Amino acid sequence: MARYAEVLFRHRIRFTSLFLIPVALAAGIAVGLASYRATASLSVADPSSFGATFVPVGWSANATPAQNVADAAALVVKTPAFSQALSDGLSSSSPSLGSANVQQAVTSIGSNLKIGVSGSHLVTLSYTCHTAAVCVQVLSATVTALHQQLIQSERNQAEATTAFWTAQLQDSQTNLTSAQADLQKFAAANRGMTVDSTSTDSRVVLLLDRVKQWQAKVVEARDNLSLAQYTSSASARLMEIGTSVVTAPELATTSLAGDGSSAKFAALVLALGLALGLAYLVALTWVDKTARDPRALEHRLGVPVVATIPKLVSSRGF
Amino acid sequence: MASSVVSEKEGPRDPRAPEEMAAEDDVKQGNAVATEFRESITEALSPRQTLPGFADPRIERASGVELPSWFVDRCRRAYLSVAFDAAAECRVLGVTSTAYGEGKTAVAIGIATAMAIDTKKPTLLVECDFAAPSLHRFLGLDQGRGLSEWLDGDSRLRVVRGAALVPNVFMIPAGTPQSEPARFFYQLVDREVMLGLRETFANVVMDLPPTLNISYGSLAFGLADRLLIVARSGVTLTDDLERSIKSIGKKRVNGIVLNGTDERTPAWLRPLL
Repeated sequence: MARYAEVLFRHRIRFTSLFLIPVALAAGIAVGLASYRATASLSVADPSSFGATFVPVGWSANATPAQNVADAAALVVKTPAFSQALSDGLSSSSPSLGSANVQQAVTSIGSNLKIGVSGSHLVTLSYTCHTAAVCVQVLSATVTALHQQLIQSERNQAEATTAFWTAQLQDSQTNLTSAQADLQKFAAANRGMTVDSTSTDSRVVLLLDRVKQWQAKVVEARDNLSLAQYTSSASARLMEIGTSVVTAPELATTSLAGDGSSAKFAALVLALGLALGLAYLVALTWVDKTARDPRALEHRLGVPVVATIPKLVSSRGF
Repeated sequence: MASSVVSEKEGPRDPRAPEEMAAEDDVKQGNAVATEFRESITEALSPRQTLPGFADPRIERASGVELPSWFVDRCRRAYLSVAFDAAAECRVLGVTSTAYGEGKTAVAIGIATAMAIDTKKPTLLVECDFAAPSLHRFLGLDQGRGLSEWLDGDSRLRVVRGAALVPNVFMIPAGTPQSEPARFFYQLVDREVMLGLRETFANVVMDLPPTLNISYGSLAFGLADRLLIVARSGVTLTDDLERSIKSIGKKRVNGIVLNGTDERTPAWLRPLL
């Protein structure tokens, strides 16, 4: 131990450097590569307020509102429309960010944004980046863009459903008109024949059945269209007014080392640097085969060290 | 030859005149060379009396050694940690290292200084690193002649006296670099130079050559009673130290002096580690 201490103090400048370099490096990593996490939470209203059986478009009846919105949000953030909305939002709300930072935020949003749920009605959003202010700005823009895109998504889905049932109604109405025309044409061609539900003529029965069938389909399509229009409207409205920001975007931690993820890496670098320094000390001690320690000499050679004489500095060279 | 010129405080412990000592030794040992050495050292240390007011031109004085007191104190700890024979009249301590540039000469000077201050007796530092002498740089002298030249019989023995604060420290530089250092160690052994040194000085510190890559280690390291190895902190390889100790023999190495330590760990933290 004494030998190691002697070597350590003999090369103290070198070892101080070897100690300070990893410490400085670790501190640099801890601060320079610090990750900051901004968090926000959204509350999702219960859709039952729009009707006991109301299920918004695209929602699973078995999942909680928060889970449905989180799933929808996870899909939305991957869309180009969201990227564009986020880019536009950041450019307008935070012009100081610069286009490079905006581009960086947009391209990394998929990996840096975490969407989770807390309870049945709370959606949590967290965004990680290397600059505290940027994190908050990006998450604010993300919340806004996400809200818009979720509404838009509901609207798009509603439009598709409405368009489908409108087409179904039109088709049914066309077919009904055609069936009614066929019945009238048959009645005109067979005057005197009873053309109503009391008729037993098989042709009349067939024609009447067709008319009834398409009448039923028109009614069904009209009902479904009406329901779709209501559901779409309600879904979009739910997204619009039912999701609200409970906790505005803010930094989870304000320490210099951010959320601590870089501190772990810094600690690893520090440990590695110190281990290297220790290995260097051991190597230096091992390489030094000269006589230095009186006790070690006596132990090895079996001859007493009768005196130690400190270094004598003389102009005569002794 | 002048009689004892070295003062009572710093002179040889034997109260007899060097001539008498030498004569007796010659008779006992029949060794003329030892006598020659003693005469040389005596002459070098104690030349004839100079007239009052005149500096002796033959005594060289070290001027360059400026070891701080804390350095000497650390060296004191080193030599005090080595157990010498209590009955020995002279302590001969060898200082070596694994390679050049680890501070063995500076530590040897420090130890010699500490010994001289503590014992207040004549203390000699002999530089025996004939291949790459460096003591003269510490003493602020020209390289010139030294022990190797004296052993070759080319010149008088050159003895340098310590600075004013430690006048009882004497130093013998190795001289000019030699390509065959082993033969000087043979001469040191054969001519019983150490015997002469032991009789003249209370403490002798030998600055020996580095241990690695020499073939005359057994000769060189056998000159000293005790051995210390100097290692430079952060420079000397532990493996080299281990090899050195193995080549000398663990029992012969009495300790390691870890030089140039520069601990950066805060003092309050060290006890906890």
